[in-house]
Amino acid sequence: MPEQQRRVEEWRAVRERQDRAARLVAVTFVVAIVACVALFIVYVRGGNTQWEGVLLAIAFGAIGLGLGLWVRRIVGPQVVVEKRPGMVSDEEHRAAFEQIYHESLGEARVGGRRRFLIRLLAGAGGTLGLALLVPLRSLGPGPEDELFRTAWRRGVRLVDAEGRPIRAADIGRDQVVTVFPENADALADAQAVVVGTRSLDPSALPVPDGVVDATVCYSKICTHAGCPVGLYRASEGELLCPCHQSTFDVNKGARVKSGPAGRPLPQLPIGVDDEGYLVALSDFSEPVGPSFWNLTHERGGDDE
Amino acid sequence: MSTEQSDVRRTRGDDLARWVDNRLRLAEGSRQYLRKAFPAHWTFLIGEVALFSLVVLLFTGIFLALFYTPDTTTVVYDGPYVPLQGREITAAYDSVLRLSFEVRAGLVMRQIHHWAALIFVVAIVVHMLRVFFTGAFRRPREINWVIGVVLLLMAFGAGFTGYSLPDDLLSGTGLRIGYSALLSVPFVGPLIGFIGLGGEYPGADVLGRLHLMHVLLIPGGLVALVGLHLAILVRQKHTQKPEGPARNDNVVGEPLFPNQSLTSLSLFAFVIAVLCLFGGLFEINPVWLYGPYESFEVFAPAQPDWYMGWLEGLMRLWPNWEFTIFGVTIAAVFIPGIVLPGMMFGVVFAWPWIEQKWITKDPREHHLLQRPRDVPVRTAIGFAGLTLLLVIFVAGSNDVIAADTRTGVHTVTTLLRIAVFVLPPLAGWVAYRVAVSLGTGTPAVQDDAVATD
Amino acid sequence: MPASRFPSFTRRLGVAFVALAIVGATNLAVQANATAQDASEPTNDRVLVELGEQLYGAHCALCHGGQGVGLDEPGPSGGPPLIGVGAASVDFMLRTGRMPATDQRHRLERKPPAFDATEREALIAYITSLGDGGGPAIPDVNGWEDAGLAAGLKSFTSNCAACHGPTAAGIAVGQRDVSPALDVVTPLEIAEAIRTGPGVMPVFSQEVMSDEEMQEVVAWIMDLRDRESPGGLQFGRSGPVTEGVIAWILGFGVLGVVMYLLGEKTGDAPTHGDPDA
Repeated sequence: MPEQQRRVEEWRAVRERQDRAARLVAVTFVVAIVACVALFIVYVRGGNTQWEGVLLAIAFGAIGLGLGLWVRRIVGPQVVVEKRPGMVSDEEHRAAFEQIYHESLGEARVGGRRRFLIRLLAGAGGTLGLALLVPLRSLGPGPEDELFRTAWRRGVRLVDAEGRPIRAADIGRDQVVTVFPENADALADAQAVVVGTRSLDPSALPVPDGVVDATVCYSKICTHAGCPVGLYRASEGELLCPCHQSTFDVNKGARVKSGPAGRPLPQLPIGVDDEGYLVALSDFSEPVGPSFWNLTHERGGDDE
Repeated sequence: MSTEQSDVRRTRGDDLARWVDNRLRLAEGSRQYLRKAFPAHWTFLIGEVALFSLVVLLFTGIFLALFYTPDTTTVVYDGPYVPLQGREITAAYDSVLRLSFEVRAGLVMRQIHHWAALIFVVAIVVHMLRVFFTGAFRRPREINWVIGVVLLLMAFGAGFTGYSLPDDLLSGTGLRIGYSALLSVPFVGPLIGFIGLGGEYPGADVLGRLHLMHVLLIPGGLVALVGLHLAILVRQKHTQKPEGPARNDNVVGEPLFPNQSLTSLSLFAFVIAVLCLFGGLFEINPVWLYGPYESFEVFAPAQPDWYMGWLEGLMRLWPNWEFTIFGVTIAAVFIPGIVLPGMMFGVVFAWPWIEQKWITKDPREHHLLQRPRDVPVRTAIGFAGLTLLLVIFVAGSNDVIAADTRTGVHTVTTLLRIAVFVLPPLAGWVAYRVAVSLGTGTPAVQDDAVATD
Repeated sequence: MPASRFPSFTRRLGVAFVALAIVGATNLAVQANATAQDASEPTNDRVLVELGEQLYGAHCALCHGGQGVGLDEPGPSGGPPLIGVGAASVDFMLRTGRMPATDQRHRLERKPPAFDATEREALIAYITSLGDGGGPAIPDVNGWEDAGLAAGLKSFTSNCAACHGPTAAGIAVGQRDVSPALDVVTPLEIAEAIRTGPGVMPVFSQEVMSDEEMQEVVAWIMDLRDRESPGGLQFGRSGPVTEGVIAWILGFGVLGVVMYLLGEKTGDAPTHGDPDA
């Protein structure tokens, strides 16, 4: 009798716990409904990013909480045990499969020439697959000599981002201006930076005559991974690339002072025209931008 | 009689179930699944977090795709954000600005989408670590390991293409770097680069192609492979910890219905809740502050989203070695940008076989998990690898660290270069000693592998 | 009473003399004032320059050398020449407390200014009097409030963001240098920095960046500190690195707790159950 009574007590206690949990779960679902209604109101009244996020979080969170309480407190942990067969098929099943397979293959009736035909079929499939890839070539042109040339030519004026030409006299000490070729279309690879240096050493430049007093011009595209070399540390004469911290010495031919860039910034030889504006004397001294495999090969076409 | 009882309790749900079963004969096959045993340790839920993040990505992504356009033609901004008014920007950037400032719930959807992307990759990585350190990749689960690593790579791709779509200054800089790495591949780099971009950088089609990859090709691949990943999991049944009645030839767990279903549903709701909370309260990727992409502009600090940080770190750490042999120039970015990542992922892909052939020499089938302390060699190698990754990740932010710690960038970089060689072996050794000292030498339960031929 | 010792005539003369003296003295005083006012510029200037020279000798000459010629020394006390450096540069350095600095090898840092307005003017007067003068004058930022924000953002991105960050939050710019956060600067300081290029900063002269463009940049920078974040909390606007940290620690931390509460823990599972069932 007492044993039975104890079990009844236990059962009652469990049911009591489950009922308490069920009430809690009901509360969470009601909270979810309220949050959704509030969400409707927020939306209708014009929306508000913060409230939208918070109310969505409350709604979903309440449902999650309710379901979680349901599974942990009402259902409670349970254990099921199943058999787990090994992943290797039984011998008899394998044998049966192989037998049916070979029989079916035999019905394909190709005898000793089966291999020959199958190989031909494989060849057809392979070449067909390759042929289907060919249209991808139409996605774009080949590089040809695009990587070796930019829009700069002899006599082209340097202009800033607004299209205004630059006077040689405007570039004083410690000044830096981003420049482009005047009236050119493709600007991404032509971008260059004009620098008013403090102690230029022209002998370190690829084109020592391509400077105007202490003003020199280099490509702005980092030779490491192509970011614009946008930082100029004026008092140190260093152009710094923010992407991976390559540092170029503007006084010494933009050679790499530190960082992962593998070669100096190409120089744009500049001079002054009759009206005192800066002009290019030729295209860059080397291909611009990050290095590529045939960098050192002769470029096609002339650059004058 | 049973008919009487079912008449009394018949609900609309019963009617619907009956209608479906009358057409598909599901009852017989589905019966076994109702009480299917699912090992239910909490660490087995990490993969589900990734799955649910993916679902959130898909739903929020559909909303975003309805408003975004990958068009690179120039428009003049005339929306409510004053600092960009009158500015000439691409239609793509404009569509993202409109979505953020003029579309109701637009900004919260964008931010939920981006936070979900970050957490998606976090969950995949943590799940991968759990699988690695407990040996769940061993036979018969090598296929799922490979699929999982492919999923990780696709997640990288989805994220990279996704955050490049707004055409802002920060993501455009990242695109340029990726393109430069592609360009550095000997012989075929420039050709593939030009074909891919449709011409010289920046190429007019690049956003359109990224868009196609991001909304169709990669999600399609993700969904298909996740489906395959789960199907294989169901077929092979989940692994389990060696405790209680668990053995290699049984599955001990909670029944699918109601326990596991409710647990998964609850987790699903919580994942959505956390993502929505972040999406509403935490600003992420404020592209209006960065400005539109221009090929001649850049700003610092320039870091990609977190999961690309290791690539960034490799590029900052690798020395400026560039050389030309027989007329072929090996660009400075080729090794850190292409070769090293390829090698690292190669090791990750091949790990089940590396371990099986050279470390454990154990070709048998396993369904019981191992405690990391019981496999000190793998644990040590894992910790060494993790430490290497951590150093490389930190290196991706070497300028941020230099600024915060008031040290020279050069000094920070040099220290990290040393750390790359010193810290991983050290961490591995420490992990090994700890594992050996914690372990008793014999596992908690004899890992009776399933006999195979 | 005895009669005054002075005869009445002498008395009158004395009064006249005193009156004359008073008038004369007043006249002289007025005249002296007048001449002082007429010559107030040169006299005050001279006073300022002298004060400046004194201050310079006491606080600046140690590193910048006598007469501002500079001191080429590798150690802590060395400094560039100040001849021709311009009023804007001196004003900027003193206003932001970057000068006087204690060690030329350390990066310039904003500090509470060491001099008040008069002393600052004195130093400016002295230093600009050295050599032939020259150098950028203190720029005029009046009207910056009306400058266009859109143009300001464009100029800021092109010229400034590379070193100062898109949100001007202060970042590393090579070696140990860090560009300062621009949340506490005044419009005048911004303008002076643009025109003089302090520290490692380049110079943006009027030919390269017009006054109008400069004011637009000022407007953008000043607006930045009040800019709202429509997306919510901005964590210092520090970009993807911070976002990643939050995703890992906050995001996965919370979800980790959720998983832990939902799933089984070791030792949770009832150990009964027939393994061969």
